[in-house]
Amino acid sequence: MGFLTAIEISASGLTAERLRLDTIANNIANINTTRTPEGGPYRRQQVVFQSALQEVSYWTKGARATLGAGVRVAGIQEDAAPPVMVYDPQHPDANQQGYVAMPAINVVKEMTDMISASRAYEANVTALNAAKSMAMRALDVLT
Amino acid sequence: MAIEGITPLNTGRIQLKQPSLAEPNEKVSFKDLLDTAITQVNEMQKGADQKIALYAAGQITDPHEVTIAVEEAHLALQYTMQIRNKLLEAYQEIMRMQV
Repeated sequence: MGFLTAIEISASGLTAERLRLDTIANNIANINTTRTPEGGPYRRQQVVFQSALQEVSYWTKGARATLGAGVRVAGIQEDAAPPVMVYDPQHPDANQQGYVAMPAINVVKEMTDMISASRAYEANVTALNAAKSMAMRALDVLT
Repeated sequence: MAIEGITPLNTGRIQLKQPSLAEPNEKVSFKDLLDTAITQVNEMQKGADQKIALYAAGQITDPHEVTIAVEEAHLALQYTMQIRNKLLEAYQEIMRMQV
């Protein structure tokens, strides 16, 4: 079934974008987190995407074309940026100078990333619907 | 040492291997084709039902996985039904022939 390949590729894109949205939501939720199990403030997390390794070859009129199999998440990486020091001596996690190490997360950047992720999700759904309607139109040849 | 004359090579006739046709008792019948097609479609439907159950139990995190499985099963069923209709039409056309 040839049309199922397009649907599987779009499904991998949907999964990847949903995971990206999960990471962004985690970043936004932890924007004021000063305590983590590893010690220190929360570090911004970022997903790294990779094109899927399994390649499918299609013979198209003698010319060999290789088509990727979608996207996979290579891993979730923590940002190496140093935490932002904010002066607040009343805070329970303040150090001796009265500075608190806050996560280096910019909420505006996270919101734009979130818009990008949700638009990419919608685009994948549109591609999936296009593949599905193409398959249904092929049935019109019979009737 | 005795040098013998060159003798002609006797390669024999090179036998061409006949392309193996299906044996008469291995013939794929129409019934078997229909059986395999319907079994595959049934498997896809059962897989989709199972994914719905897993999603309701909370084991599947991606909602699109469920919807795509349902849609794929529906598409496969549509294809099978249309092809079955065409095959039945052809069969009936042949049966209508006056002998």
